[in-house]
Amino acid sequence: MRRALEALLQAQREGHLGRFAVGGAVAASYYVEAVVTEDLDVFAFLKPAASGLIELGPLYGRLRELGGELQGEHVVIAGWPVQVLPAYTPLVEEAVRAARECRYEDLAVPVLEPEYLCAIALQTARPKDFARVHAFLAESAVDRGRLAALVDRFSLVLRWREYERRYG
Amino acid sequence: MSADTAEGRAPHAAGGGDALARHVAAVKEAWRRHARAMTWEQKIAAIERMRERQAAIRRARRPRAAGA
Repeated sequence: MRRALEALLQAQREGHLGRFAVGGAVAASYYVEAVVTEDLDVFAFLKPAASGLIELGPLYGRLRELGGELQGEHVVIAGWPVQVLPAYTPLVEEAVRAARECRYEDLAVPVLEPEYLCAIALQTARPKDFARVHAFLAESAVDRGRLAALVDRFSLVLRWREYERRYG
Repeated sequence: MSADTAEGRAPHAAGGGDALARHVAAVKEAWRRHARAMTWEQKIAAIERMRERQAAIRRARRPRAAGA
């Protein structure tokens, strides 16, 4: 994991990667009990190419030079498949901007805040996403008022009701 | 962690289903306390171990599936 995080931070320093934050199960494990995951999800602002399109090629090229290996939609670095997801919705954009710096050994790693992780999980809405929301609430690892505000502001009320139906 | 009590007998052997349920709940709660106290680095290391176990299980299943 350390080598993957180092490569991402280096790519950011070099300008290949804009502001980014770790999301998904790896981010959740900072706040709540760890669950197994196959990959490291990274949400990021990426500079559009001259065509105006977001291209992952230059970033993935640099990550390959830093020891990564392309495998489908991932770059595998030191055994960790890394998936860089462009900040693609207003919720994710805000979440990346609000990310907090967390320590991993001596590295300062931007990690999504718990309320945003839950809101993004509600937006994604797979069974494992609802389970993640439940883990945060069960461990009191989330500010319910802040989460409720995000649910309201990003039109996630129906998803929240779906969560309550499953876990309430 | 041993499943046996200080008396040397598993609780379900001594007290039936309720005792077993209490024992399981206590073990789970002890694990949760331990998990909550882990650092991020320790949790990531735990995830890596879980991934290795899952990969080993997948590898072990593959030849059987191919031979079936």
